[in-house]
Amino acid sequence: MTRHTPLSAARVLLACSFLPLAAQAPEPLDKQYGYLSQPAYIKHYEADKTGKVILNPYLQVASKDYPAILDVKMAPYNWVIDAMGRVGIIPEAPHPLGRTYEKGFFRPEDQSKRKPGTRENFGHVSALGGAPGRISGEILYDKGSNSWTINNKSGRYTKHNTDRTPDQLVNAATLIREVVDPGTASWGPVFFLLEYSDESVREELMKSPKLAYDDAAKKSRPHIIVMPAGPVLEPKVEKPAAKAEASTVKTAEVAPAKIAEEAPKAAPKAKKAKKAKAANNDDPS
Amino acid sequence: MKTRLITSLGFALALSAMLPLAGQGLVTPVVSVVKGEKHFKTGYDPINVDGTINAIIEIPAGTTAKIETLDNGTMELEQKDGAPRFVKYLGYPANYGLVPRSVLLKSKGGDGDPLDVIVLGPALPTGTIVKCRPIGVLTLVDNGELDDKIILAPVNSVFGSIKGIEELDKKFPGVTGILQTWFTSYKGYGKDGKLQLSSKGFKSRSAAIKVIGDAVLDYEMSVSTDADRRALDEKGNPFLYRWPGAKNKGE
Repeated sequence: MTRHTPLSAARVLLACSFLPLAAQAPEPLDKQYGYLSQPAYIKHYEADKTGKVILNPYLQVASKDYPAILDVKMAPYNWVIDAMGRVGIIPEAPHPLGRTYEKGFFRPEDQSKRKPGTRENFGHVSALGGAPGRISGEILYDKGSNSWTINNKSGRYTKHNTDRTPDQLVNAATLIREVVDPGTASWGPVFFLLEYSDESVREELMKSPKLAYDDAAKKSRPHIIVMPAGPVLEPKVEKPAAKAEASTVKTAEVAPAKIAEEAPKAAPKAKKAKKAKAANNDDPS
Repeated sequence: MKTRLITSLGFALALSAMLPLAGQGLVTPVVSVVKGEKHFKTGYDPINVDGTINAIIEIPAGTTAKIETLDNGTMELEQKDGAPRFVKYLGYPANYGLVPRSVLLKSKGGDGDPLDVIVLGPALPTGTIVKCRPIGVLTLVDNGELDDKIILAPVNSVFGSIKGIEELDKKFPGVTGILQTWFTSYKGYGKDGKLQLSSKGFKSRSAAIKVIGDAVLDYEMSVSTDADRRALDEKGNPFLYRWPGAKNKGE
């Protein structure tokens, strides 16, 4: 027979005190970067024969403890916020199981006709191995202003989710600027692309006085700048290449490492304002 | 008494018969073949979903035995002219190994082997798979051929938080100098009286990320054939692929 003691009563009370947690509101990450969502689709070449989604071999996962680094030579990049609120960063690269379609092709996922010469690249899902993710988009290099622009262009984790908002993009872009080293460029503006948002969000934003287009005449790529460009950074100049061959390295000298790469040139002067595009192309990778 | 004497004599004779073996170097001082759970060159993933790199250790820090990974997926003490090969120099200053499923293509000036890596930190046994982050690249030229080595820091090590060569120099003075000196010196002088290997210093973390990604992508490209790709329809368009973890839009 069970004995009811003050101790067992205390245990029951303690257990009950956890109950409200079960009904609690979404965790902060859900609010900041959107709910975790399965990818809208996996393209036919993205998983191997065993069904494993192949990771992009240039993947960097940025956190406050270990920032990622961007390289203008590898642009454009995709970004995605993962379950734990870290940022996965991957450059565009050809997929080993993909093809190049000389005559173009019809893509079944979004019923779109792709242009001749389209190459099948690693998409956002290759930053998470196909796992659920939060809001995602692109980081594009704008040569004219030597800066990185950020947008929400992703057919996998952004477009088909009703909860993705400009506020979440601002939160994600703020995090990206915090945990991603822009290298020799600065941070440009952040674009919220209306075509990659839910209808309800889009309707509201179409009325915004901030609404802009990449081509106003064609009304192409409607977007809103949700964050202005960051300050122009002084280029990080690494030490110039050491000409000394190893045969001249004195073993007794344990001097700081010589950086072999050429020091990056000073940031190119911004040419007379050719406006940065909100997106690279219309392929919702 | 007589029996005892005969037994002792027999034992002594047997021992003496074995004596010559001791001088022949028949006892290999290190394990000569290491077989992993999987194929060391192709069986392990090069990249993890947390962005870390898997390195496989061939030569533990502090040792001199030249252990290499064979195409059959095992590791073996390298043999030269019928004898095991040892570096005739101080032991390796760090662990040395490779990135699985990577290749430095000959068509791109590489040696056709997996990407070589230097893994900082205490000695790790041959065959260890260790999660690392890239720090930079040690540039090396061996007899006119590029032979760069990627410098990696194991995630769970004192070097785990290092984000580049400059930080490595700041926090661990001398490490880059030791690596550069050792790798350019261990092969000694060539016929021309100069060190056989030369280095022009280090490349950044960004360069290391690119070299690793390129080597892994080149490997995957080199082993992928049309048989690995999913078939297209009669018009040359892809079919919709259904994946259990996706929403499968377009169905």
